Amino acid sequence: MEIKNINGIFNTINNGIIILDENLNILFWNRWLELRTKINSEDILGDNICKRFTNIKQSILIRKVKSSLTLNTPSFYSTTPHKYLIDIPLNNITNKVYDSMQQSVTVVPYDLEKKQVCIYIYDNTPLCTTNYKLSRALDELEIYKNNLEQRVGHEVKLNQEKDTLLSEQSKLALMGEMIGAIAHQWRQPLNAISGNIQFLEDDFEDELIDEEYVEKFISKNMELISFMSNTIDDFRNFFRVNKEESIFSVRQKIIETLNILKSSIDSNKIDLVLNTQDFNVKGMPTEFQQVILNIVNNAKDALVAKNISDKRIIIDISLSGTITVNDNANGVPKNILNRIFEPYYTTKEEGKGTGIGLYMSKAIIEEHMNGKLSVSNNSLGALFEIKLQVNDGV
Amino acid sequence: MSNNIELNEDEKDCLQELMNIAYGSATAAISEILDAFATLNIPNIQIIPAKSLKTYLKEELKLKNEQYVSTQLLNGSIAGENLFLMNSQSATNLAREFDVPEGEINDNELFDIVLEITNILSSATIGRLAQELDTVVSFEPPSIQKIESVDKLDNNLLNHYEQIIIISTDLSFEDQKIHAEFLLLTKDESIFWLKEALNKILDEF
Repeated sequence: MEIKNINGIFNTINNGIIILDENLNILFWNRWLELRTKINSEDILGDNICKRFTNIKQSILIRKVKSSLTLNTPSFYSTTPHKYLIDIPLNNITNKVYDSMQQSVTVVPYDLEKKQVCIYIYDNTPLCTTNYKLSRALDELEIYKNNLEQRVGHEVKLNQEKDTLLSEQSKLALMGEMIGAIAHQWRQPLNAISGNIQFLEDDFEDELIDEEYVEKFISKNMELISFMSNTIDDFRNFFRVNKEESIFSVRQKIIETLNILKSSIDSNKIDLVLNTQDFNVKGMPTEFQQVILNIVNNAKDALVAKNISDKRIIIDISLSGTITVNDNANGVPKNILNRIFEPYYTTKEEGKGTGIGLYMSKAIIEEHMNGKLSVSNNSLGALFEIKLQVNDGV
Repeated sequence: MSNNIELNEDEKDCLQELMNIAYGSATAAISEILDAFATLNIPNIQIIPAKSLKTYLKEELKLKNEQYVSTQLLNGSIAGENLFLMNSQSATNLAREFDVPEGEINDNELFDIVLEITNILSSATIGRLAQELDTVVSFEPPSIQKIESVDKLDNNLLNHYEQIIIISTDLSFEDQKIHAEFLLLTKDESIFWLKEALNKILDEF
């Protein structure tokens, strides 16, 4: 079918159409372009397109025309590098991103013999606007993501600082209790040394002091001083800042901890039973001792506070890696059972409890030693259960 | 359907021959358009499954650096997509060949030049191949992006393709070495069409 009135089609199409010769002179300028550039066809025909539109790089356009004519195929101007071929200002006032129409341009052979090409100009502004907005939204999202990461990092740091502070507070609270325990432990040997010294003067007057007396005196008092020194060593070892992990025997460390508490346990007439089984774990021994000390101290305080007549604490070590500490102080009230590991939660009267001990104990067992610390009540009283990973390396 | 989608040895040989002819005309076209003596090495054709494209690009071609990637859709009997990859150094060398002054070589210029060469190569090769196979292919406007590594290639586009025909291209000018990878990503039905067209030619000889 022969198509009549091709100019009519070219003039009604919703794209810009230009026909150029190989020297880039304009041979056709359609109505779409007339309306948008306000340049009438008769005013532009015959002009060199690069002279009328100085933004067009002649070398590039010549290359596109040559490609198209040589290969008998379209060549393209893309919006990505060029933005537009003909500068057409945009009239919209709202939602405006670009001042000029963004164009996609195709150069196709029109007449190979006469070396003429046809240039189609497509309005690519809506797509470019969407891409621009999308890219801006992505940038904003990236900024938001970075801010969020910074905030999370900040909060994590704050949390770590809070945990460090809690750990220090917990150690200080323990130190207070330990000083009480030492004072208790020193009272008896101090009284004994004091008595021995007081007798020294009378014995001198009674002329009882001879070489044998002096040897006995020294031996007796040195024994007492040695006991006091050991107490201080236990205390110092406990608070030594040692962040090195090692594999240790849980029974050995429990015994060392109970030595520190011995005098306070004895003076409160508490029967403390530890079975003979043992296993090894990997961790920081002083942290583990801190946990045992907290739990046993709590049991002791509960037994004393409730004035239990037959006070008992049973520590049971099982080879599978479980340690239980069971007292007979009638258990933890049900309504607070699930809260006792919360930080600053204490049922002790003001000044006697910090509410940090059990919180730190749980953190040590679960976060540092990869274990589990839980509490329940049984027929006797509170039952603390520590589950640890047995280390067979030793 | 996908059992017989691979080209056999004869079909591959025939396609290689046709591409050699196409590259001959592409060399002449590039020399004329750029007004410089250009050599296009005889292409090495491979057909690989689409899912192993990234591995191929990373491990076989060792494409680790920044790449200019242009894509162009093809319509007609050979339907699919051209993928053209060129590293920054080759693109800069190409810009020099296009007489872009040293101070004006920037991303926009390089985008334009890579687009131009993509268009020339795809028209000269796929267009000529289509002509040899007695069919017509139309080309959509190519689009371009710069990616930091092959990993950034959009995965989604690969899910549409079963097989990829890879045409490795070495383009040499008198004083500039330019290497690019030209890949034809085709859909299953185009491979079937291609097999049929190649077999028609094979039957004639």
